[in-house]
Amino acid sequence: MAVLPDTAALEAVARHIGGHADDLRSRASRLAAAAEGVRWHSTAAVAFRGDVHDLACLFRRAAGEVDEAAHALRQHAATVRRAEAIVRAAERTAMATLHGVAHVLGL
Amino acid sequence: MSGPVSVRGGADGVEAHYDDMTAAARLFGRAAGSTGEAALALHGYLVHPDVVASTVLDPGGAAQFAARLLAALDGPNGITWLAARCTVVDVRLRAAAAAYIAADRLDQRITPEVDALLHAPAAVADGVAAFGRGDPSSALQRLLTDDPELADLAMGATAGVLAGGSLSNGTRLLSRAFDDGSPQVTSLGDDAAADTAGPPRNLRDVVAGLARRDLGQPGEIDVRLLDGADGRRRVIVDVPGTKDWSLAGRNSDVTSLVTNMRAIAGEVTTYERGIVDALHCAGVQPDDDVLLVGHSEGGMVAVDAARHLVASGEFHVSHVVTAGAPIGLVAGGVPSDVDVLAIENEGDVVPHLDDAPNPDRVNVTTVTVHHDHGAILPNHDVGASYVPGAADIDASDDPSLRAYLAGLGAYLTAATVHTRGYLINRSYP
Repeated sequence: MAVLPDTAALEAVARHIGGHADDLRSRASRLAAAAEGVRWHSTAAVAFRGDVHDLACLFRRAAGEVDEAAHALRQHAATVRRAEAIVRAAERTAMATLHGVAHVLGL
Repeated sequence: MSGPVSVRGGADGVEAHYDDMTAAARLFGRAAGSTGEAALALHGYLVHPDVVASTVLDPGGAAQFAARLLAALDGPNGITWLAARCTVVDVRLRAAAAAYIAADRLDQRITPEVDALLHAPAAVADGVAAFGRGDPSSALQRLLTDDPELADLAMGATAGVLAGGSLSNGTRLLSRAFDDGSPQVTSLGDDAAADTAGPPRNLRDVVAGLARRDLGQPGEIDVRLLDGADGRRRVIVDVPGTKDWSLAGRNSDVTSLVTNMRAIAGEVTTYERGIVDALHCAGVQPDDDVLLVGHSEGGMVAVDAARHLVASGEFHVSHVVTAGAPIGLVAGGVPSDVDVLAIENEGDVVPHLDDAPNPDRVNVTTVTVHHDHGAILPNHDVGASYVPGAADIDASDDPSLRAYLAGLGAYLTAATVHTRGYLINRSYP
């Protein structure tokens, strides 16, 4: 039935969102490694590395939140799939009932 | 009794590689862009047609998904904010690199002038007093030893007049008039008398070895072969300074002025090539750790030799110690795996003859010691000023000096020492 949402498409969206979470994690690692690799030694450099360390932690935390959003979308897709099945079953029952009534009435 | 020292650079100093900083800044800039694009794409999923259409069948689930994604995107420390933070880091890094570049340029330009101006009034007063006593030579000495940075100003001005530019350009042009010849190395044999003191146990012993060689004939150096308790051999090379001040076009003494003129600009000299030949003669191997110790001109030659030997891989120079050497123009080119300790006596004018302060680098530690004798020669003398200065350094708890001496440790724990003397002369075809 065309009016019902495409749960496969919802799961594809969840995968894309999960891919963004992976990108955020690898970005966090790259930025932290880059900060460590800079040949810069001073009190300002120590503060800079501390800032980047915190930033990398926040990137990883945001990635975790994005993963949770992707998981929520997968659960939503599963719920929608179950709802769709109920709607389709109700549709089939309704159609069968309609056909039965039409048969009894000789229509 | 040990005296106070002041330190610039070294392990506790500032090191900033501008190219590293700008490369990292670019990475953060790109991360800001990518993260911003990700935030836009993720916002788009909130209004994706299938997500909107599915809301009717599971409004609670759709609302939970939207709430979680919005929290990840626009909540405190969300992805949109992280993109902005990356931009801030990019800008801060670029600004820091620019500030270091500007500070380095300013430092190179004004440090001698500022230091000279800080000390000038007292120096002029002392000089005028000596001049008033009818002793102009003493007056000049007093002026220069009170305020050695005046030598930087004088050298800078002289270079400007002679070469219309930098001191290194000026000396390079002048040195063309003098033939540096080729090294002729003669073994002076084992120096058993030098070995009676035993292997060096501290920096004072190291510099005392240089002072002993400085008493030898012009062009005399030595190679101290140290057998370590770990079975490894280490080598100390003592390189004395100028013994001949003549401006003769041809001069067999490698310590003459032509070496100064070439070494101050970082060029390979016959003196340096003679040291390399002496290392071969002494049987030093490419993987033996080498410490070059030089006074005055010998310090410049030692720094230049370290640069050239690391580049060629001929010998493994790990450390350099200079005493009263003008290495400001060449020390910045020493590779990061060679640690340089530049000892400068406060009243010694010679370290200022290059018109350039030593660079502030992790691997270049400049330490000023304070042994003023009120005259140019003793203030520059290894035995009178730099041996006691080295003892001050041994006693110092400055972090940069402790780090340097810790790195030097393997040279100071040898079981035995065998010293061999060599004479380097300049020969002409």
